Amino acid sequence: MIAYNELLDREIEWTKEKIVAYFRDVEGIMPAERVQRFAEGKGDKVPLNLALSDEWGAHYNGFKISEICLDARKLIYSHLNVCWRFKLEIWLSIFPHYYQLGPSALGLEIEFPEDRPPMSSRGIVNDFKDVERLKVPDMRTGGQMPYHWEAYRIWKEKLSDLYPAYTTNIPGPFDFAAQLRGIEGMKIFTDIKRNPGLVKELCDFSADCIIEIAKIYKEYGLNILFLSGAAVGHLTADDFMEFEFPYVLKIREALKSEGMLVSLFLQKNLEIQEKIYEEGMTLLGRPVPMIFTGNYYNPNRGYFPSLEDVVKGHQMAEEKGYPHMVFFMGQWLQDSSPMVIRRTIKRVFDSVGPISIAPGAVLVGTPVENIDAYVEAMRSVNIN
Amino acid sequence: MTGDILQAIKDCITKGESTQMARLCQDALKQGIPAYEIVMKGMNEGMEVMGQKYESGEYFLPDLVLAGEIMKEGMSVLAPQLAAEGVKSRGIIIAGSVAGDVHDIGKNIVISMLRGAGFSVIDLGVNVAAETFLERAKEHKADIVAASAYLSTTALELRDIVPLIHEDASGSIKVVVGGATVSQEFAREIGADGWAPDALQAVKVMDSIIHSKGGETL
Repeated sequence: MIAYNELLDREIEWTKEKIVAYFRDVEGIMPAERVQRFAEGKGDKVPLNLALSDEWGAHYNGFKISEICLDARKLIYSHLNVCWRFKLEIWLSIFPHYYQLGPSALGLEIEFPEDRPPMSSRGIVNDFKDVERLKVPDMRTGGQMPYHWEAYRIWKEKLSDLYPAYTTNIPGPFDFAAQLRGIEGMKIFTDIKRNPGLVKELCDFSADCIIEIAKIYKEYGLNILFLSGAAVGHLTADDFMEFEFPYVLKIREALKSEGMLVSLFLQKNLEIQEKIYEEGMTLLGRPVPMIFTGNYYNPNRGYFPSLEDVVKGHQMAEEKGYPHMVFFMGQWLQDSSPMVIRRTIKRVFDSVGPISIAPGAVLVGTPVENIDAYVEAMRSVNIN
Repeated sequence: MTGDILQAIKDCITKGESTQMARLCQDALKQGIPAYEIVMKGMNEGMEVMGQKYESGEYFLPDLVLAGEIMKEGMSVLAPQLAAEGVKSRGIIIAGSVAGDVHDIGKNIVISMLRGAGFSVIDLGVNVAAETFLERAKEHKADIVAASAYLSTTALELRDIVPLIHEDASGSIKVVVGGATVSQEFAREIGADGWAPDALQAVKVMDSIIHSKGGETL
């Protein structure tokens, strides 16, 4: 009798073998090499990943969403099989409870509905006294962290030669603090106005927690830490510089001795980007800011930005000498037909040339044919 | 004099001066200004300004959240007086964030504005199952179920809520949807009765639906 976990291990190994054979015998180049050559400007095809595909992947592989959130082996297998299905070259598994993982080590409760994304509503910090009581926990053993590290262990042992990774994402201090304060009511936003001292204390503490998590990432061979966030995206440039940036710098400073680089992930507010570059910080490790075109939090403008907006964004990017990236909301991939998807991507390329076009999330229920159409359309770019 | 204090209440909201709101509302009542007028010409006008400035990019989400909190403080002073004045509810609305979604900023702002505009709102909170929306709507003989989704992953819940309410209530309870990831196109596709891109429009849409004003609701 084979134990279920052993069976999953065999599935992981077998799926890996299929991917290796495909890239070696059909493509003639392994994923890591394609990424490397692309980075050097010598690539043959655009290396692809599918952002945030884990929940979609769970269903594709016959799992409930809670299964991949509680069982690291299932998460890894699920993601690997998605990589196989679409012949992806980049490993980008973002945990569905990405924002709550670190805070869970401090006692933040996460609910795991059977087949919905995990959530936590109530925070664990009500006032200054609570912040004073907080201590940086053991980030190896607290809350959901053992699951997180188990996923990294499996990836490192079984897959890191096929899909090497040197970077990882983690919520930045403001988003970490927002979770500790509680998402319901988003108290941290009123705190900014009414109790800024509390926000600063909490972000400072959150930075200490992030530093401890980062040190463990380093043990898995990850040398670059990207700090991201959803809540922080709603701040003004001044608030960002007051409530997020000092603590980002603190993290960067603390990790220097560990040989780990720190950069910010995505930030659509150009004013914020330019300020952080003035201060010597980067976005995705790039030397200059980046122009984003997308309709996040503005869906009345459509799930895919208009061609007019794409062209306008591209012109601005060219004027400033910045790269340009187009973002669309996952609903577009779900609701469009394969033909519309192919045509839309082609129109963008025809108008502004080959640029990055990425979905925020591939949603559960998105037809596999639509994802195929998107992947094919992106692959059609001749990057030479 | 009346205008001065109503302007001060409006300023409280637009300038984020939270400490003054309760006192100003009490002063306005002492001056004999009806609670309904304080809400409509003070707080609601302030929230309208906030909505417009948020839309134009001048104000950000923290400003809007604080304004909603300040309005709530004013409403806690005015609510008993509104009841005593016998202000008739302009309609009954059941509001909540859909199952799997714990984000409630937008919903709370809409609720504040609806209450300010004279609607009775039953707030079901966050992570509300489709069946709960239906049960509570029937229990309260609601005119509208207002369901909000912030995440693209939870917006899919709206697909279940709309037919469930429509089928069970034979169309007598309308469903209005909204949230950061809910587009007009999606609202139409799932058969909702109304959709709004922001809190200000949400009040207008629900008013239009309940009072058959004939304006565009979707």
